[in-house]
Amino acid sequence: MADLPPYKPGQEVTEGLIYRRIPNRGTYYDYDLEMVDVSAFILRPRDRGSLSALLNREEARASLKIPVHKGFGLCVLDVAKMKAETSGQARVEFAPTPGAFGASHVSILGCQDEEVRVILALIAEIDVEPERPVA
Amino acid sequence: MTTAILLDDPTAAIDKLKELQPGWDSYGAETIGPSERENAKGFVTRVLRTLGPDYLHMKVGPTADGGVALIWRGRDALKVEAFFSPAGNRYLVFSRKGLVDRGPLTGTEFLKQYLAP
Repeated sequence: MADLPPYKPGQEVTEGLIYRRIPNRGTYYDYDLEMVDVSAFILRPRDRGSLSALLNREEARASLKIPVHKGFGLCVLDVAKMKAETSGQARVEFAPTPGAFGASHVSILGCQDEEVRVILALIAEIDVEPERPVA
Repeated sequence: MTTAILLDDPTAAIDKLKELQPGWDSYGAETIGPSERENAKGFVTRVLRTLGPDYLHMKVGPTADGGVALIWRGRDALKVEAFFSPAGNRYLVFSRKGLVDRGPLTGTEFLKQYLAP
């Protein structure tokens, strides 16, 4: 079992890496340039500027084994770099949720602005490359 | 899973997005709305009419807000993207260095500006 993150719910996470799943779609990941695209960080209106990610790499990788996530990849974001590159607009809050893979859940706050989402896409690195889409 | 690739017929790819179920991105994504699909298809038709078939080499995909994304790649890894979402239609241009341009989608001029040979 993975170690519990050393944060309290609602506490800001200021360093470390966080992981977010990306669907295996050519508009989410450019397979030729090996770049995550902005689509990976587009929000639903009800998200109010907040995106989900996980602190724990093992949990994030395990989540890819669920059948509905077949072919998905994982991108990784450096929390301190994210905050610096977005001048503090994007920040991360520990927000555990009940259920599978929720123990290390975090919210990336401040993603309403398109420029912030571009920065997230540019600094995101790939931990697990999504499978190539099937035509 | 079928998904976005470079297609000769982007309108067929846009139509196919209606098959997506809620939560298709694993984070509760919305289904892709009929208005958004029609707006995207209308734009593709406009691109063909005003700029020609060379500009139809795009990627087509869904967005979590229930919209459609069309993505072109320019020189030096420039990304030119058009989004058709419930909040409105917009375009976005960025390079590896950051945001280059963005604005409401009112025509096809931005494609010519950033993709013309």
